[in-house]
This record gives sequence, structure tokens and C-alpha cells, in this order.
Amino acid sequence: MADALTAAASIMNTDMERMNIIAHNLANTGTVGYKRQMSLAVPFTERMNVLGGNRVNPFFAMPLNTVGPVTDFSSGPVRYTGNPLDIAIPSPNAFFEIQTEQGSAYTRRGTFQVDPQGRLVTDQGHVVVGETGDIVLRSPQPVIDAKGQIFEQGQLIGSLRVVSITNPETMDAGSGGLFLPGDKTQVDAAKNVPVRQGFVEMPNLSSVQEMVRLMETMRHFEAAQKIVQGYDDMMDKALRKIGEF
Amino acid sequence: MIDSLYIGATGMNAQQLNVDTIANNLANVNTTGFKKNRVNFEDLLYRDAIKASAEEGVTTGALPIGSGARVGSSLKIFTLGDIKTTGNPTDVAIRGAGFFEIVLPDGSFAYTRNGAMQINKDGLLTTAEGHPLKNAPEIPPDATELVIQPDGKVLVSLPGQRERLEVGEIELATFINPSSLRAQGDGIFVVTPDTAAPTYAKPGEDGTGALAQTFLESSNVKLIEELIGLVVAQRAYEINSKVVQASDEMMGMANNLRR
Repeated sequence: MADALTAAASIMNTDMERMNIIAHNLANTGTVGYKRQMSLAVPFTERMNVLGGNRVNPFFAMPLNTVGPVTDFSSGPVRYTGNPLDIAIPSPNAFFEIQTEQGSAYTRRGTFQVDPQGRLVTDQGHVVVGETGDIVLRSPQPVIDAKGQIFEQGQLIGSLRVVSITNPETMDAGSGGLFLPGDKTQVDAAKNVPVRQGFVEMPNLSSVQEMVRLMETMRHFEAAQKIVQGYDDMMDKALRKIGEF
Repeated sequence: MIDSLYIGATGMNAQQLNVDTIANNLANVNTTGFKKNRVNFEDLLYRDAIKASAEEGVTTGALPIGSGARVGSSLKIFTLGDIKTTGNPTDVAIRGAGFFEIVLPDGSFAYTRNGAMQINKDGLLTTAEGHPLKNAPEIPPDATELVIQPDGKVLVSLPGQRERLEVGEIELATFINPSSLRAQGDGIFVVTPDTAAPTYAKPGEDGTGALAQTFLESSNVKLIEELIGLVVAQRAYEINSKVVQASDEMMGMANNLRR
């Protein structure tokens, strides 16, 4: 009997986690280079079968049937801004390489700036890696062609390093649009990946889809609530009626 | 679960700042030399929750759960505004990049694109608020005509003389990262610790624009773009408010499990 209650509690916890993911997606509808997250679930019976074992999630004391948020790396729509330091990569599975304190990171967030030393940096100040090292600019309005080559007043001064990652799902998401490579991430030099100057890549999420999932999650949650209430009623009847003397 | 409530709130806050920025841009659509602001959103820290894995007794790695969004930066966009003619000889526009360097009352330097100038009682060229240009040329009080050439040379015509007299030169300052300048109001920009030192050039050289006398640069705010941005911001605000409402209802349901 305890199974029904545990199952319902588990459903509700899982739905709360889903809500967090949906909320994070919707909060970031305007964030350049954001990739939407989806919640990945495994069959519930797998989880339930090990109730009480050491696979119970200590946080919630109930097994969840979600494996966790998974990032969807499909391309988002590309929007024109006209800013010479905004760069977008329209095709999927290709990233800019960024130098951080933890080593190389990869991003699709092409809202670049120039730091006081003239280097091309992300808007958090991390240096953008070029094919021949740091990219040092003398003016904030370079011309960047589709191959990522950077020209200032007609002279080639560097080239953006664009990498192609065929298994981006092995990367960990960091804040500010950065993705940190994992052990199994395969990073290759990109071949024939065009970049567009003056454009930014908007998130690959659809408000409609997220709203539908939100409603679905809420109703699912409500259904679990009904299970608990129904179970409560049953126990109530069992205790009162059957236990009547 | 309470997370989604706060995450929704971060989304709403971020859009609120976005709307504020758009409102400021729209309020300044007719301000000479105004440069529009643009807000950049960032996704917030991914906190690690403990992961229940499929293997027996092994917790591998962590669940990266995002915490919402915030406004990472609000930058000035230095695209050029339209140049409009006024016919006023003390109005100057820069047809391209570059700033006029002006001297503030406390002696520090500031930068502006607003070329609606005046001549003060000492004969110096100043901004409309009275801040003189650095190394401002001195205009003699009996000058009948003021000519500012596109290369920055300032010439005056004196009565009784056929040739114009050169009284000085206007130089322009450029920055590699003008987005790091801080707007102080009145069209004045000051340097911040992130700003590289300015380089000076004659107008028309080294990437700066030539001067255009009797013209003024209007703001670079595009009405349609800002209005569309406003619509999008409003709807994004609304959708985040739906998340807050939904979280609230779910919490209500959880509270009402036991009637």
C-alpha cells in the first residue's frame, strides 16, 4: 500500500524538477546563445524497484524518474542586430572557442566586446581564441567574413577559431552561455562552417512548446495530488468502516 | 520546487530592466547625439543537485540545474545616427567614428558626440552646457564668419581682411572599446577603468569621421526596432509571470494534499 503514496510523492517531486527546467528555459527566452534544456526520464518501474536501496535520492528521499536536464543543441533563429562585434553561427554543432581559467570552453554566444588591451573578448571578459592566438583589434568595427577572417581597413589581422563538436551533449553547461568540455567531447577544427557578422543566435525554444509542457506538468502534478487524496480516502474508509466495532 | 518560482521572478526582473532600457531609448529618440542602449541577458549559475544514477549505488556527476536569467550588461551601441542639416554655423556633426573631447568644470576630460556648440564669453567653442572643447580655438569677438572644415581646421573671417584666419584645430578622440564608456547624461561620456586610453586623430584620418558644419547627428534609435523589442519584452514578462503563477498553484496543490 505504501507504494501508491511513494509513487505519488515521487511523481510530484519529478514534476517539480521539470517545472524548474521549464522555468529556466522561459526565463532565458531573450538570452543570446542559450540552448534549451529538456528533462530526460527513465521508466518509472526501474526507479520504484529499488526503493529503500542506496539508489534513493537523499535530497528528496524519493526516487525520481528523471535522469536530469539534457541540453538541446539544435540551432536557434538568427536575428539581425547590425553590431559589428555580434557574430552568429547558423549551423548546429559548431562553437566559438573561449579561453577561461578552467581551460577551453565553447559557446554559441557571439556578443563579443573589445577589452582595454584591444583583445576580442566575450561579454564576460573571457578571451576569444583565434586561429593564431588572441585577436587584437584597433577599432571596434572590424569586418568579419563568412570564414571568420577578421579584416581592419582591408588588412587581415586574424581569424576566429570555430570548432565542430559532434557530441555536444557530453559538455557541461556553465553560466554565461559557456559549455565546458567533458572527457568524451570530440573537438575538431570546423570545416566550411560559415559565420555571420551583425547577427546573434537566439534561443532554440518555442514559448508555445514550453507553455504546453508547463500545463502538462501542472495537470500531471494535480493528478498525483488526486492519487494521494484518493489513497487517503481509502485509508480513511478502511480505518473507520472496516475497523468499526 | 520553490526554485521555479524564483527562476520565474528572475525572468520577470530581467525583462523589466529591458523595458526600462527601451523606454529610455524611446524617450531620447530626438536627442542630438544620443546612442541607444542594448540589454544583454545571461543565463544564471547552474547549481549541481545530487544525481540518482542508473547504476547500483553510484552517484555519478551532478545535475546542472539552471537558476534563471539576469541582465549581464547594458551597453551603448555606437552606430551612427542620421545627419541632419540645421544651417547653424556652430553646429558640427561627425560623419563617422570619433568623439569631441571636452573639459569638465573640475578639469577632467569627457567625450561627446553632441556637436550643437556655442561660443562662450571668452570666445571658446563649448557644448550647449558650457563645457569647452579641449584646446578650443579662440574665436575673436569681431569675427564675421566661422568656418569649420571637414578636416577639423577652424577658420574665421575678420572684417577688412579677404583671407580667412586659422584660429585652431579640432581633434577627435577614438577608443577601441567605446562600449565601456559611461554615459553621464547631457550626452557626455566619461572613461571607466575598463576603457583603453583614447587615440587622437584629425577628423577624417585613422578611422574617424570628417566634420560636417551646420549639421547635427540625431539619435541612432530606430523606432520600429524599439517598439518590436517592447512587444517581445512584454510577452516575455508575461510568460515568466505564467511560470510564477503555475509554481504557485502547484505549491497550493501540495499544501492541500491533506484536506
